[in-house]
Amino acid sequence: MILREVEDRDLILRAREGDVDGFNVLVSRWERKVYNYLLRAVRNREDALDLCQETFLKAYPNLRSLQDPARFAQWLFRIAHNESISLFRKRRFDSDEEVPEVGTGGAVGVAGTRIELLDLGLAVENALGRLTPEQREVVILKIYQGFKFHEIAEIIGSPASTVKSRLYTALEILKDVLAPVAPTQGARTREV
Amino acid sequence: MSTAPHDLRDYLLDELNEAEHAEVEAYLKTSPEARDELARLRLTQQALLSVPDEEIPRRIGFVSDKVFEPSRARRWWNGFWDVAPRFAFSMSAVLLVLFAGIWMVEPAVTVDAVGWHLAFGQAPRPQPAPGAAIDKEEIARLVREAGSAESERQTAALKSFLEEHLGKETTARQAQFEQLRGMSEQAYTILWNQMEQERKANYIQSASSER
Repeated sequence: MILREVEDRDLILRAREGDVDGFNVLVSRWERKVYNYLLRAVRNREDALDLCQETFLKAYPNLRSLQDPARFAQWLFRIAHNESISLFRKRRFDSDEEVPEVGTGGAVGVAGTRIELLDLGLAVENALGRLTPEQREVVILKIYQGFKFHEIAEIIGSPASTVKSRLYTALEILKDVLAPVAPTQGARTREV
Repeated sequence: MSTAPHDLRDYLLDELNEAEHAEVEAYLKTSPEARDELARLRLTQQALLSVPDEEIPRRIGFVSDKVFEPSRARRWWNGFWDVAPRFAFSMSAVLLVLFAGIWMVEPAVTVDAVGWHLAFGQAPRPQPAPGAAIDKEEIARLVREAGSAESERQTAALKSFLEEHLGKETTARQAQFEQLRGMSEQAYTILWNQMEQERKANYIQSASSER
């Protein structure tokens, strides 16, 4: 991890000098993470891909504003976060409706009930769909991206206490839905 | 039932330091309820992590795409700021040497009728160029002309002032003054002629007595 940070730092410094190839290596390293973060946040593959491209498009000319190259991940995800917020606002303005969600055609598991015809992935997707966008985002950044609370606070521009509060509330909701159907002993199960 | 020393969610999410982590582990050994709660949290976490990351359907089109390359001006600007500290230091050094040199050679600039003179160190008085001898008669003529012109100008100004402020009365007095001056000059001339005649008569008389 340290080696990777050192290499990222070198690539960032090269990209700052106008080395496009250096930035391309950075893109290839981070595009999957950024894409999956955006996919879980906006829940639409096309949107996630567009926003991912926009994120890197904005990152490149603004690399000089990154004071500390060691904080590249937070800085990059901050841009991605802003892009997703912009999309939410645009959608809200355009349709004044909820953002359409992918794969929400089946029953949603609730605590203490059977999950039928839905695999765990769908259950997770539905569980995440129960969260507000703000709660879902902190879950993604913490559980899937592994950021610390203070790093998430930096990314979303909110106090760490707010991050913690949102995450704990989200975990309670997710626990009620997912704990009964989660795999035990490493095996996938469909029943409680 | 004892309470947990720290939040189990912080423990699960690795947000505790080493000492706090050890405290929670010790607590878990004594509390079946805490172990159950932690188990449910772990199952939730495992369920979330059971959904793997997706491969990006299309790589970000960044490689060799000119649209992403910084403009020439941008590259120049970036390059400038990269060398700006060195440039500023070099310029400071050059200016320092320049000012020190100026201070050491003590330049002095003087101006006279001939032109500008730049000298270093103890600046001598400017000397007239060889061959440019001073023409005293020319200078005297220039002074006379200047004095005459100035006198005429002052007389005209005074006359204008008097005419303007004192009016006809002044003009009449001036005429009287001119008349008196003429009379004085005539008296002076008569007196002068008489003195000349007496002087000539005395001269003739003394010459004849010597004979």
